[in-house]
Amino acid sequence: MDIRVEGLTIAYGNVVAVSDLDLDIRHGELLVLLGPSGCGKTTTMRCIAGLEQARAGRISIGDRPVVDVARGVEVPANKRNIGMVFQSYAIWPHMTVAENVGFPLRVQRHPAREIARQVEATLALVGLEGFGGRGASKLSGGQMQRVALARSLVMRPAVLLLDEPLSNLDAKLRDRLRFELRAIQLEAGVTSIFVTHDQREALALADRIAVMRDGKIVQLGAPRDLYLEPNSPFVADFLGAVNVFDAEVIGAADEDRHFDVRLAGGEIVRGRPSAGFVPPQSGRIAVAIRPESIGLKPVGEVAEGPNILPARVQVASFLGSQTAYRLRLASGMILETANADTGIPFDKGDALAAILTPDSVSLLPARDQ
Amino acid sequence: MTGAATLRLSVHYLPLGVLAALLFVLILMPIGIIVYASLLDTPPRPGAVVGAMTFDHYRDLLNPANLTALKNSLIIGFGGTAGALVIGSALAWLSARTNAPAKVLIRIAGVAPMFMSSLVTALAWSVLASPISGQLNVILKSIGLPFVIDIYTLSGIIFVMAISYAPYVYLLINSALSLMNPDFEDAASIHGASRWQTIRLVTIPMVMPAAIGAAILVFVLVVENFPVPAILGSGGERIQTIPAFLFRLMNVAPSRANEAAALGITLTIITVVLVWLQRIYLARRSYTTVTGKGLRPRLIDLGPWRWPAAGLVTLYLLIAVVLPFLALSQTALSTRRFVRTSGDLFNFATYDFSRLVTLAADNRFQHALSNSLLTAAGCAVLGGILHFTIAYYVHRTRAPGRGLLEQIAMLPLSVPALVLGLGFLWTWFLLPIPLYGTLFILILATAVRFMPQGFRAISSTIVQVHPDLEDSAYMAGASRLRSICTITAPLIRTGLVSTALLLGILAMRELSSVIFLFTHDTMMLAMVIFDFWETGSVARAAGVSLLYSFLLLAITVVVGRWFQLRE
Repeated sequence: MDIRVEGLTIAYGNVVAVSDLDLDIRHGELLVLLGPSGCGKTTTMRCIAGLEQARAGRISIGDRPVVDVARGVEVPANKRNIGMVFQSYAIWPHMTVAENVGFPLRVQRHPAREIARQVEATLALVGLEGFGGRGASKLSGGQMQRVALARSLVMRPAVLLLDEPLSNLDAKLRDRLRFELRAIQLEAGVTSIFVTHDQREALALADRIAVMRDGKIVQLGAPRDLYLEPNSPFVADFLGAVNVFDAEVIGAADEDRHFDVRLAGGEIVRGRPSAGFVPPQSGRIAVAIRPESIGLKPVGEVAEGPNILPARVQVASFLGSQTAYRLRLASGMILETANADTGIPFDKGDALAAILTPDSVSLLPARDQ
Repeated sequence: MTGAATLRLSVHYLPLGVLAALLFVLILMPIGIIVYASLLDTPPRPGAVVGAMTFDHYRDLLNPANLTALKNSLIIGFGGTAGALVIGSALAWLSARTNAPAKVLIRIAGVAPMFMSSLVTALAWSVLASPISGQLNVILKSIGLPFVIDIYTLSGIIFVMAISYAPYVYLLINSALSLMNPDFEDAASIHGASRWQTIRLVTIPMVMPAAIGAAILVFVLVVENFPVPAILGSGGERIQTIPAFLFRLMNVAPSRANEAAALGITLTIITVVLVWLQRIYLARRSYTTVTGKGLRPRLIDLGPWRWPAAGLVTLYLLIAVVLPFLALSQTALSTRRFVRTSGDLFNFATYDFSRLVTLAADNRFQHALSNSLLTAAGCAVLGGILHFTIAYYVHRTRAPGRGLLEQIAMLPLSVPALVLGLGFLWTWFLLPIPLYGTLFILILATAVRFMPQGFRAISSTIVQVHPDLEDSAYMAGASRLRSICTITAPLIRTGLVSTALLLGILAMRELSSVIFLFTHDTMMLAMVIFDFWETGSVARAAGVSLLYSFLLLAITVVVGRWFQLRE
């Protein structure tokens, strides 16, 4: 079912955790709330769940209002039919796997046979056939995560909430379960909200991402749009463009809508404004350069020109599928790159040229002071 | 805010309101009434006119008899605390940090006096060392030694207090010493400290918070202790302490209740200040010595001192446990009314076990036993539920005023038991609910008296359960109450059961807080002992003491077994 959040404000005393937040989530969609810790993403989710109280605003699920502060409506969490996978999984250690998964049906007084059937079917969905009789305290982290997911899905929830469900797993398992989670969510077709601070997880899973900061949504869109067209240095930085610099516009747009800008270190590069941003005639802006879009050539193989920056390798870090370099420009500025195999590996101290295509240099509004 | 929202909020906080009202009646009202009574010229009585306000009772406190009682209380407080600290920390150190032999013996010596309540210990020592007929003095005379041990003195009372409260020090310091990360001490020796320097510069400072905490706890317990001075302060020249004097003021005819209230407030102020000082001290420093990793601290090699240490422990065990036990047994079993020589003492032909059996079959004993067990069970169950509810509100909700709730729950720690009992008496005189004279009032009084212990024990287990566990049941469609009953409560059942058992044992041992509340029908074992002793039936007092101590020991052993099975 679709979820509509309007004017949601959550505060504790004088501390405002979420302020005047609007959000529409479409039926069957997986929306990721992404942001640094303390940005209000978990609080927003817990408020939708009914575990936090709003100070103002409305939340409705489908046609049913579950929170309307002005009218005194507050449906208790146990009446909202929302499934939730907690960060800690919250698998009850004093019950078996089947008792854990069957709990929501038990409190709804379903007949035992019906419960057993649905539990088995849901365990199959998450890949835990035959685990029902096991004690829940003896499961591995990945298994617990699946049990938590099964427990939330068995009640056929209107909405599925996932609170950083992958953060307690080791890196390999996390990558595998991410795919599985997405596959299960698509198969169940359940509207889902996923909270995380990991931008790779967000990009990989989401239909849409809402980037949050200081209790507000700063940008909302499909992963690709957000990645390629961030609307602020904050979003660019958070989505993985580690090269974000202060800059100054020094020329008008050419026919491709490319502008020349001078970076804080003095280098002049040509870039393209991010969607919706009109650079001022002059004055401060920000520039984001995505690490993987920077080409590297040995000095001498390329002519000098715009967007070709001489640099030296400060640190080379071999990562297997790629090599990451930290480059030092003539002005002393640092540029991070993450190149697919360039053929010739560079070493620490090597001189080279960093080649930026104008489309990979995003011009953004200046950073907040 | 609209009407609907107000209604929703008020329904939401209804259980909290009930709880607050309950705590008001159970804790704040008794204390308030004492303060009030201390300022009136007539005692609180149902239907009586409220008297006039006066400060006379506080002025009267300055008379010499009261000042002597205050002086005695402070001397006994400091002396008893010092003694308990020396005994308790020495035993704790030997047990946790040295290679002294017979560790089991040390552990028994550390906790054993706990099973004989201070009432029983005092009784035993009055039998052992009263100046004229005390069994030790009889022996000393028989072997021709020309001195007399007199327990009816300040030092005698201090001695019994030290033995009675050493276990508290032992338990606190022992846990601090055995949970301390040995890395701290290893680091000191790696950086060049000698063994003695390590102890002086690292170990002792790190155990200090526990030691100060134990010292203040014991001081409060000693100063408010009523049974020991009641028994040992009354022979020969009277040694009056504040609690004993308070009790006497209530028991003279006509009772001087308002003076008693003023005296109670004075005593309360002393204990409140101490508990408050302790809290400030402990809040200022946070030592994280607990690693939870089960690291084994280094043991110090005592070398040739191992055996003298073991000897001292044995001697202490003899004095603190074995002698009182033998004394009570002799008194309870001997058919001779008077013992004049050590020959009489060891004439086993005069011992008669059937006396104990007769006593156990006696109606009065049976009645008191069932009252004690019922009160203990009631305190365990009702107290446990009450303490759980408070702990839940404090740790698991954002309810307004939950900080205050915690403060109120901890308040009985700093109110002397005797004063609390007096406040209870007057509260239920004034309230239109006829609880006085029932077992229920004893259950309520003990549940309040031990609320700090129950609240703390349950809190420490509640915070170990992640709130997500309960929230996920709530999200899955269960009501809050059902979520608590099916998830949180089962997950902390070990903690809940052990807290309930602790409450039961504490309630069984309790005398001070219920001494103003019992009637002929609601006598508990401790009161029967006190009553027998006061009316001169020392043999029967000793007999009931023996049975009572065995009962406490049996319950504790069963509880301990249950714990071992759990872990």
